[in-house]
Amino acid sequence: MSDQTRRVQEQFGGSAAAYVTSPGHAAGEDLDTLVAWGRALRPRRVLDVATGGGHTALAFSGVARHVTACDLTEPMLRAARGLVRDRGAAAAFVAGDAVTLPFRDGAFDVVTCRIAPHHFPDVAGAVREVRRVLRPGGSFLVQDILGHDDAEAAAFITEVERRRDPTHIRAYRAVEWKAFLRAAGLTVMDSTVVTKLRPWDEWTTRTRMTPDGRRDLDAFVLAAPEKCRAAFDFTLAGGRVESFTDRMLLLRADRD
Amino acid sequence: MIDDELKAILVCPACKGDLQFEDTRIICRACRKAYPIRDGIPVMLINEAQPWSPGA
Repeated sequence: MSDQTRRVQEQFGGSAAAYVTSPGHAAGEDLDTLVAWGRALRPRRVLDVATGGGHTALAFSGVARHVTACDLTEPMLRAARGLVRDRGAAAAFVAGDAVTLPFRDGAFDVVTCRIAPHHFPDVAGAVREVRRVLRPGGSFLVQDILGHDDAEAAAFITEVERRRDPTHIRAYRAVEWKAFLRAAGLTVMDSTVVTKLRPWDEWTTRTRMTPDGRRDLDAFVLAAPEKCRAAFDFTLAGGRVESFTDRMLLLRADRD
Repeated sequence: MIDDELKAILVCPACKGDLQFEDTRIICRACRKAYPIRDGIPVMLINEAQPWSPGA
């Protein structure tokens, strides 16, 4: 087992419930956009890779007859299954790794993956697996945190993310995403960027940071160059961090 | 219980070959691996599979 696999299973195994209740994951313009894209494709079978709290799988259960939700972490899958059942919806749940998906070639009309690839040690490998399990002409709907074009701002936010969640690897820029997709044989058909406000207290407690860790992270943010904070619209009040804003990249790419 | 719709699309994550479904595990005869079913969830992770041999 790779160190990253174990880290992800430990990190998300212990915070599964917090991802089910996370407002940033449960809803938003980003999820609405993915669902609108998905609905227009009229899929029969949908796979949600790295389903996490299960919100994307739940939303797509209203779009497709068969939704399969896949994740590396079993407690996360049980939490996601609880959410889907509580809402009276249906989906199948499978423990699987994005780079070795346990599904037949061409099994799905649509594959979704929302706010997860920044945890993947091998994004290119995961995208190749997504292409394999899509039918020809099928669509990959992917959303992730957008990497910043400014190197200093990108390094700053990556450090913030890693201090908060050691399984964070990094966010990729749009040009990098397009290269991953193109290399795998997927053609970008649609893309958009939406913003997501991150309330600081909810964001830092969801990953079970210690009080010391949170204090150190606040100090790191407050000591950072103003231009780095401004790049992510950090808001401060009374010497404390209140929130910041992520930009999310949403892409639809079709299998050639 | 794994429904037929899911059985139709599940393959071995290692070799992508066909699987044999049992009540508590899922077997890839080609790789000689048994993937556990825990709490109703097929655990199709290569490093979670147990060695399997015919007749065992």
